[in-house]
Amino acid sequence: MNEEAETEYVRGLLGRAVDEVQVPGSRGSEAVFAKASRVRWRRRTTATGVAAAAVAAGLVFGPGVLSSGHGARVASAPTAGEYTTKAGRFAKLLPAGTGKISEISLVRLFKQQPKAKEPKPVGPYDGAYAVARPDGVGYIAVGVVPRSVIDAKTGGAGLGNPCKDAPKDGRIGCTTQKLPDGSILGVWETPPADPALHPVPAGGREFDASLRLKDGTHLDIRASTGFEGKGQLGPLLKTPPLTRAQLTKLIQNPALLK
Amino acid sequence: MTRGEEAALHAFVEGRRPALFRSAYLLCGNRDEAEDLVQTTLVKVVLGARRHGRLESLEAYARKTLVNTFISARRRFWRREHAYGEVPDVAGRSVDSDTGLVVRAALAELAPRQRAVLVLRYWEDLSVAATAQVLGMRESTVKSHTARGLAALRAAVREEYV
Repeated sequence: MNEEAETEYVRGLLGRAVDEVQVPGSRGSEAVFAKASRVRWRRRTTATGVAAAAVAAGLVFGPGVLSSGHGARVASAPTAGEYTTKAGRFAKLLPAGTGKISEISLVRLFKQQPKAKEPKPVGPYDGAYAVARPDGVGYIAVGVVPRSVIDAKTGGAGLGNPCKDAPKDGRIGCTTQKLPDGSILGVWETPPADPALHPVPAGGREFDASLRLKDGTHLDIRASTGFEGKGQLGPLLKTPPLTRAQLTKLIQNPALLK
Repeated sequence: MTRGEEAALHAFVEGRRPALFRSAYLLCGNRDEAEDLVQTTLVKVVLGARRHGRLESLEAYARKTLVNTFISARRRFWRREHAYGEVPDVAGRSVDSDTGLVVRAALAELAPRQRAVLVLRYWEDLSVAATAQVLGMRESTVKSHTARGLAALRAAVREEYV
């Protein structure tokens, strides 16, 4: 059999193998684009703004909080002073019954590198905090982003209205309001990431809030049910550690900026 | 990306899906897995096209993404399955004399890379060089995978019909 004939023969065989399978009805390109938007938004928030700043001060795990044991491998032990002071003070800003709070480093967890370098914190509570409850472990990430950083990333254009691209970026129920001091507050929900597309780490459902101050500074907070993948804190919480209302109240607490 | 480019991207996603599904089905041998593979591939294509702002090589990009996503997923799958001592996703040899079933069973017994080589060479009609480029392997490796894959395919068909 010459090469051309063989090619035709094999192609014919493969054709027989797919002939009988029915091509599924189109799920529509919209589903593809919606999923792409969610992934893109996730990556963007991880690379800039919220996550980058939120991990700035996240340092280490508190002992005995996490169920999976991954944290112990990536964390160095905190001094008693660090642990009790910052996580303890942050816990006091949260509603009673939020859960057991301890500082974590998302950078170190995600990278699985105990010595991964972290950006310097800007706000007094910048960082990530594990929220342990009987049903699982979520986290709250807090980050102040100075105007200079945002300008550098956006070429001076700023981030604009947080809800402008909400549907395209997969944000659900995005609302904005202008506060009496002139700052803009955006609050929305982010659905869980698809682990197949975003395997490490795949974030769970979360509420997000972004406060854009008049001077261009941003304060961002994520209240997440957790994440799945390497460094996973534990089972995902059934609901985010803060409700929308609680998150809205927390982000307006001036102590987060001082 | 301009509106026209976005529209072209939508048209590509809509129009290319059936062809990608057939290739995915040959690779996976499973309808549901093939459908998921195509969906994942198209999402990656959309992300890539928007990131790079280029549309001229979508076809090649989609093809490359499809096979590499398949191989990557299968690699994880095999590793996980081996821990339990099971062989994953290998269709049992069919007693049905239907050629399609025989071919699918033969493909399922090939290693993922060999399967990918056959699909690219004979279904997607790529040259040895182009196949090597898509899979990131040497041309000599493509040729050896092709030879082994074809031998297995021929043997399966012969065994069934002789």
